[in-house]
Amino acid sequence: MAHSKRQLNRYEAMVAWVFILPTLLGLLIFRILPIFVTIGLSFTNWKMMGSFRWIGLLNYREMILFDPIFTLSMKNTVIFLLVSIPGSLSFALLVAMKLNEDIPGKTVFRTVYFIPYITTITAIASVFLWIFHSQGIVSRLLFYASEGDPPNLLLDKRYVIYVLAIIQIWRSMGYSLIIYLAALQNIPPELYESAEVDGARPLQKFWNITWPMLTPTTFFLIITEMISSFQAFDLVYAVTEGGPGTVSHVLAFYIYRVGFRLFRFGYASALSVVLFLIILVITLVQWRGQKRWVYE
Amino acid sequence: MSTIVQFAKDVRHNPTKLLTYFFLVIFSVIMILPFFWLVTSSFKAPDEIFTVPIKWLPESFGYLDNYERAFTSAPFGKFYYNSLKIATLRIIGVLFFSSLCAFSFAKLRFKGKNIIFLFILGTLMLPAQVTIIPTYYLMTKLSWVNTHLPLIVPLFFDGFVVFMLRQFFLTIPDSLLDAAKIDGAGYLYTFFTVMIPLSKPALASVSMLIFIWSWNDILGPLIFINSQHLLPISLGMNVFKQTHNTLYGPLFAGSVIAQIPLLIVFVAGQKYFQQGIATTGIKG
Repeated sequence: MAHSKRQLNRYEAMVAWVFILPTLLGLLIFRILPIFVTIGLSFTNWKMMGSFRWIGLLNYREMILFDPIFTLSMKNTVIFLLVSIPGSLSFALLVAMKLNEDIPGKTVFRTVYFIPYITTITAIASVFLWIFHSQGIVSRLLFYASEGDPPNLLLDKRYVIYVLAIIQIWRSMGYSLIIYLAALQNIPPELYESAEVDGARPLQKFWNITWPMLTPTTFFLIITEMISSFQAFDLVYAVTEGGPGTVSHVLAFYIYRVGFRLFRFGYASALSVVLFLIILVITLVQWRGQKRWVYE
Repeated sequence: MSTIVQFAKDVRHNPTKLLTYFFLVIFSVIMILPFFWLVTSSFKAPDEIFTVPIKWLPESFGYLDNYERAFTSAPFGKFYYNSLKIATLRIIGVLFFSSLCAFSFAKLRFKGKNIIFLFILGTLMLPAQVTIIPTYYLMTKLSWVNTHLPLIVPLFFDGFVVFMLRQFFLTIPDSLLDAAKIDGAGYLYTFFTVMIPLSKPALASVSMLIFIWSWNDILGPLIFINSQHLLPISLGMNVFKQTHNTLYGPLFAGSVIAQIPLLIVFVAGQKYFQQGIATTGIKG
């Protein structure tokens, strides 16, 4: 009996491996091995065609010391994050709290706020080009009082990255909203009831119950939005193509340009490694943070 | 109807409620405004599109030239077909491989399970840009460049989908599976006759997410596709965007048409879809 039980277990394990194997191999070939190849290539001067050689850390040296576009891309990426994430999250939380109440038209609101998230960015990019154009609605409203022609916000190096961040808020907010809504529904109503018995005011209820109960969700959203913002390739590609000039380059876009327009695969690999390291650090912070900082 | 009555009562108690409701409406109008402009502009004649001050509505919705030109001056039908084909094949493949894999993680016992699961989760953090150059090289060696295969086959293997399906499979009670096992059913049989039918909501929400990702992908086609007739719609509609002379009318019409399948998928499966997203968020 014990013998057959062991055989049964072994059979179960074998079946499990057969089921896992295709995905495991696929991920190895298409996700894991390429990482190591990228790291290796980052020490070469490969340019797609012809031979290439090992150049040690020269790519990294060029990036840090002599590449103003890299510096600019990093700076833009950080501005983009710092504007879009707090914007998207606070906006989403405000709306989610409102939608968590019994108000008319809840489903309609939820749909309307979510639709930007599923939109094809190339389809809506031209609308934004026009909205932020010098004759477009936003410029005319913002520069209503100032003299002369209003600027084209997407062609002005002072504004373009902020405008992209605002479009990102518009686009990503629905996702955060859905997640906040689900989290709000998980807060036990008894907490609010007993707070009301104690005579708590709405703002007190928010800071003492809602906000602490939502920290895990907020933390999760900050991390996922950070990771997706670091990869914000399609938005930049569709709306500004990194321009005017190189003014609105972000890291993900710069990697694409160096790799597939300039065909400097070695240098693009080095840039990818930097992106990889940044995301690795964020992910590690998330894993540690989930255990430590977050109220459960 | 009762919500409205209740809301009216609340407002009488606390008039600020009406004010916040008003802001909610204003914000949602702002959210929807770009679409409104896109749709109305697709019916405008060229000289109506960029007028100052803004013309919110076209002269008439009977002006269909833009739609006609979208299909006659570009292979729009072909783009559509390509997008549908890529999304469908990708969904079939990823559901097949990921659900088997997730079933193992949720319901079977074997050594090293946790480590391998962590490994699969780890692949989630890898940005596409990090793997794109070696993948491109691999695709040239396989002669898959300028075919749809690079947009389909590598994406059969997706840690996120495995994770989502596993979370759902865990909620299915073992007793249901045991019942099938006692009858002498094999694992594959149990999987297809018990697990899959019970998991339709999860499979539906995963399919919708993948449909949307696939439909909206830009980086993939940008790198792997060179011929116009192979482009999916996300990139194909850029044919109207020329450096010096963008054909805005047909571009808007094309953009509207390109969003219709997304809207259909979203409206049809809104419930599953939002549940799917919410579960990934709560469990982190």
